[in-house]
Amino acid sequence: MSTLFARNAAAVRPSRAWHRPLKLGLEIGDHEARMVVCRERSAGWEVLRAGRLAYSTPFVEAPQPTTALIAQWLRREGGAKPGSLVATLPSVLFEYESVPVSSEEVTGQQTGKTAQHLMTELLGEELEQANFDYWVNQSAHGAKLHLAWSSRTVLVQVAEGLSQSGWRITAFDLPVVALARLGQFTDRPEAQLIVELNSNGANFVLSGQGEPRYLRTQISLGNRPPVEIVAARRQISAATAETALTRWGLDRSGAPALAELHEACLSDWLERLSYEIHRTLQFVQGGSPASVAPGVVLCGGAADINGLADWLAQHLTVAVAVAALPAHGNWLSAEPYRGTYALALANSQYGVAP
Amino acid sequence: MKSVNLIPLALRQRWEWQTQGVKWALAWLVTTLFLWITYTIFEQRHAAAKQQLESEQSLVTGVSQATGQIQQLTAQSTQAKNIVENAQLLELTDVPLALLQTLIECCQLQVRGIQIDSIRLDEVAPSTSKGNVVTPARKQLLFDGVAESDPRATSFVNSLQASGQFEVVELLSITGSEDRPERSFSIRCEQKQ
Repeated sequence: MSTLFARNAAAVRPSRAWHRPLKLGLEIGDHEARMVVCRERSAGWEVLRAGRLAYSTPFVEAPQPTTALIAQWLRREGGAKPGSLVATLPSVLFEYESVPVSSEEVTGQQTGKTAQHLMTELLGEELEQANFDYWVNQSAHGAKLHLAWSSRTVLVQVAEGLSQSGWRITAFDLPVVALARLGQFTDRPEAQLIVELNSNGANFVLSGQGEPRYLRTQISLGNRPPVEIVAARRQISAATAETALTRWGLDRSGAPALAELHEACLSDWLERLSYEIHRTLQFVQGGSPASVAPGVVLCGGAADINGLADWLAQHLTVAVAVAALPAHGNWLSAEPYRGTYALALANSQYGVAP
Repeated sequence: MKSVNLIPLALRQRWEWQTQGVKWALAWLVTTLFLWITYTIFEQRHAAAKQQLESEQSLVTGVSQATGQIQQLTAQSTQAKNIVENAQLLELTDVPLALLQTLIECCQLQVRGIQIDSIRLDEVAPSTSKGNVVTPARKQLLFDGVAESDPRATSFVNSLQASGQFEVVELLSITGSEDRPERSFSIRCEQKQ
């Protein structure tokens, strides 16, 4: 395994005046890992380091060596005084199921028993090989028990591999739950559709007050991610294509010709994305055109395409924005903030009350 | 909403045990180190105090020996003083005996020509000579007697003077009658320095 390229981590060193433990949010994607190192302050928090590491072999094909590579990277770039770490694994490693339940079934300790019972029904003897967790959504229409599970072997391998980084692993969060947390950083936390654009496609999470209300995961937007599409169409390297999309992308105000070229290259991908978002918005609105449409928040690698949010807003006629930094956060890392780091940032806010 | 965590519980418990183990091991190590340092410090101080005590004891031993010597010397000096005082007493008693012995010898020289009736031992009052030198008190013999004749009395006085034991031999009085040769006399002999 070898790294394709690795962006250097931040250059801002934490001041010695504060000795609060650092928190590291780690997003392990299928082709790339992203980290954000945060420190809590008396008023809010600040991001001291951010970086990403790309690997050639997809994570799901070789989780153990890739984890070792990530651990080595964290040990080198994470900082001299490791603290706690919260990570998410690629969405393809998880399975989800939502089950309507009665209020009595999700009261107190009964919830755990209900979840165990449902998981036994779903997996049978294979439950021994899996690790699961759950959360409950209460609404006017009733209660829903959301179940998520993954292979225990992979989870143990990754956890033990990451423990070699020196960081204390606090939790493996679910990507969809972490994505939903981004909704609370927006102006309208009551309803936001979080769209994560990764190399395998897209994940849709309807966030209500930072909690996942509705999920659509692993939505395919084509065979290849935008960077590879542009690289192939323009006969340029992946790194150059990424720079071109990040710098100029679809923004017609800067370089109109280049924006048109990119739009032409990505037309299929854009149409597919626009269609899936439109479909999801229609579903979550329940077919009622009178209700106010939720805003759309973009995150993930493809969210860095310059002008993508404007393009989608123009075509969907809804508010679309790249996941922004929360007001009480301060980004001090030399690596500029982008939608790429949104999920890692959400991981660093694990367990923090909204 | 409760936080979701997919790390297996057994793994989390194992990490917790490891973390607690490391913490307690560190606490044990720090405590042991602290106690060892404290023990070492006290041990060093104890050794230093012991050494100082031995040094002080050696000094006290010297003083004790000196005190013993002083007491011994004091006893010896007391003994010597007693000897000297005894000698002085002996010398004081020897003086009148010597004087009397001289007196008796002088009388014997006169072959029964002198008869001593009374003898009195007395001390001459101390006098101050030139240069404010005080002459210590001396013994003197005052005796009365009868001589068979004037020549015998004169010879007796001369023999007293010739004995060398007296500083002064003074014939205080000599009386008698013309028809008889016997003479009563009174003499004072002052001890020689």
